[in-house]
Amino acid sequence: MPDIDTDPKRQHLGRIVSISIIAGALITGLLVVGDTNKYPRTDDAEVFANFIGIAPQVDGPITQLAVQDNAFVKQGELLFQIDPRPYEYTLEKARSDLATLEGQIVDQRRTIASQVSAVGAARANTDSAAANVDRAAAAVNEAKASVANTQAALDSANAELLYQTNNFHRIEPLLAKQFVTVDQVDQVRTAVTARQQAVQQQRSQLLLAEAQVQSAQAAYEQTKAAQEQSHAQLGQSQHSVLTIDPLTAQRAGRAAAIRTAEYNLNNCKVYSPFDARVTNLTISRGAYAHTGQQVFTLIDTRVWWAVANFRETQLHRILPGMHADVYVLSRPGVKYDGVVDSVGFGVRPDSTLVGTFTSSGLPDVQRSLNWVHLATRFPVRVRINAPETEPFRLSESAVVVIRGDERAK
Amino acid sequence: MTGVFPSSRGQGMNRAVAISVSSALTLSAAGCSRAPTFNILGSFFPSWILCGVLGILLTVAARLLFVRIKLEPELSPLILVYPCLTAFFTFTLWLVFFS
Repeated sequence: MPDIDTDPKRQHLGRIVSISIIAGALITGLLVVGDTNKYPRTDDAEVFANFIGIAPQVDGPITQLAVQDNAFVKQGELLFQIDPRPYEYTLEKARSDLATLEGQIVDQRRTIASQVSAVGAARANTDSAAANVDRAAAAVNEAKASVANTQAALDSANAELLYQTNNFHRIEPLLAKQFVTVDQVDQVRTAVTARQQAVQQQRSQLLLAEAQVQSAQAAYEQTKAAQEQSHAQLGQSQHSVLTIDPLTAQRAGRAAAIRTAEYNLNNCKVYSPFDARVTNLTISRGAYAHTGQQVFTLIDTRVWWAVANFRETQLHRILPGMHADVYVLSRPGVKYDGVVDSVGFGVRPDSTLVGTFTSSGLPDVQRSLNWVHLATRFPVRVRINAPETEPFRLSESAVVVIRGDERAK
Repeated sequence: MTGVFPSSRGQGMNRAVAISVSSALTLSAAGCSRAPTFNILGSFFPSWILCGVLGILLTVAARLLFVRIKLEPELSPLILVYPCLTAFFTFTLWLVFFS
């Protein structure tokens, strides 16, 4: 077909079509690149919600299991109940312990009152001992006065004896010359003898009085010792008065035991901490629940997220607060509005990590090296704005398209 | 073969392009809010694969059209034109339906 081949108009048209096809491919390709840069998207996303393992705070067999697997529970709804009887008994014992302590405190108060009375008696004893000391001191003085008195009597008797003796010496020579009768001399001699006896008697009296002084002195010492003893007894009784503090100090401990028992008893009933879905419930009534060991799982259905992994090169375009379109692949026709909550700050992309130390203590660095590195991807949390009635499931596949600040319709 | 035929054909093609572009704009304006992923027997295929397959099919159709209107001999270089046409269809479909 030489006429067509050489038709310049057709040649011209063919060139225009060729150039416009190539140019169109370039332009649309650039548009696609620009669009994907402006609105980063990924289909490596999953629906996510926070979840907890619900675990009892007390041990015991589960007597009532109020929920079923996959059931929806409202906040505060009963999940299960653990046999409360042992905890009721513990509470009763704690209460009785406190009552016992109160009784002991009353008893102790009475004992202390009696000991205080004993202290009063001991104090009276010391007063009495002091009076005894005074009396003994007076007796000593009295005995000393009696000694002086007896001494005076002895002096008087001695004077009398001296007078009679002199008198006798005077009279006796007169008998030879017959100036006095024999009877008169005998009379005087008898008087001298009597005076001598009187002096002897007074000496004995004086010894007796001195012995009495010593006896009174000894009695005084004894009363002094008795006074000291009574003082010591007063101190002893004062120190032996018991205090109530060791018992009253136990009150707080016993009250705390009651509160602990009440707490444990209350924890026999386990309630849902939030609106949740029950998951992984594989036990029945009668299962033995251990403290802190999870019985089943609760998915927090109040907030749902799509966790989307974006390449590190896209992260600078994704800021918290940006809107995003979220598609859940179980319902591909529904578009949800999402808001970027946060962007992940750490992942572990490869099993061989920079700076990993092996058992030999040296860094693990491989000789082989990839020429082409794949971009690391970080999880971005996109909160899904949807009513709680939306039936999301954890780990559902999702697609996330970041829409920037513009409000998604 | 007269000179009128290709020009009238060209006008028809332009009209077809105009119709397809306007319908595509209408579709995109209608807010095609669908997930850019397709479930085929439990496997999710990304939208660009679908666009690529459609682009190849459209290029095959375009080539048939070029052959029929005897325009293909005027196109050059063919090894670049048809891949670019495929890419153009793919990108356009993607931009219209999934952007």
